[in-house]
Amino acid sequence: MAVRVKTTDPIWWGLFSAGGTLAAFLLPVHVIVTGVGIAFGWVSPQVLAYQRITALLENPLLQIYLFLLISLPLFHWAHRFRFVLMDLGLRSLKTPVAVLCYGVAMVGTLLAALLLFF
Amino acid sequence: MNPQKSPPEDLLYRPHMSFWWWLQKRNYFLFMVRELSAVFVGLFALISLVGVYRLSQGEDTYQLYLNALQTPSAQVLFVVILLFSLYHTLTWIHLTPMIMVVRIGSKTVPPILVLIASYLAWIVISLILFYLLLVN
Repeated sequence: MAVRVKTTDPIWWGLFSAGGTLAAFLLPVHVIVTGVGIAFGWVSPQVLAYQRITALLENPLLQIYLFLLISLPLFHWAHRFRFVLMDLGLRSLKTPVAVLCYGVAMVGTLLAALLLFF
Repeated sequence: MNPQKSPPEDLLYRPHMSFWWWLQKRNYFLFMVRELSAVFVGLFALISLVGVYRLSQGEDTYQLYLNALQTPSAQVLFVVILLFSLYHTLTWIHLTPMIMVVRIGSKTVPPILVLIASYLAWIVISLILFYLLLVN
């Protein structure tokens, strides 16, 4: 007997989970180096210099890495924020909230793909 | 009366929850902080996306982005993002042993070992990433 999948929930949960794992293991260092470090001058802005980044992004593997670093955390945000909004009383707007949250993540993903791969 | 008929709207049970329910107990509050950490995780992704966009517009525009990253407001923002990002990492790692049950043969690996392994993985990955980001 064929099992019919009636919802798209597993897709969103999968992206949420992948984004959560990626953010958990990689984001603190990125925030420390390219966020806090550069903001306070502990890290040289040369780390993010135009020439260095454009040269690094010649490498397709680094393009994919940066794409995932942007896209997956956006889907992680979308899924959690969707339920935060519902927990705070927007349960009657289930569908618009879902469309808005996942829509933002999809637009961000599309932009990242266009900018990085084309 | 037809028992099949659905009850009138106003007879349905709807629990009333205040908007501030998450301030009523410490655990509710910590749950909300954990959920809201995603906002800051997403914000960092968004800031990175802006960087990629600025990069595509050429060196001069990109320089404006780099300058913005070094302002006092960026300092405050990134400290807040870092705190939530670390809270996300801790809560995520502590959920791992509950979700991932590791079996070797017929034996189940104790959850505490899964937790320790996750922490070790995080530390090792972080050190490697530090090296890759800072060394050319």
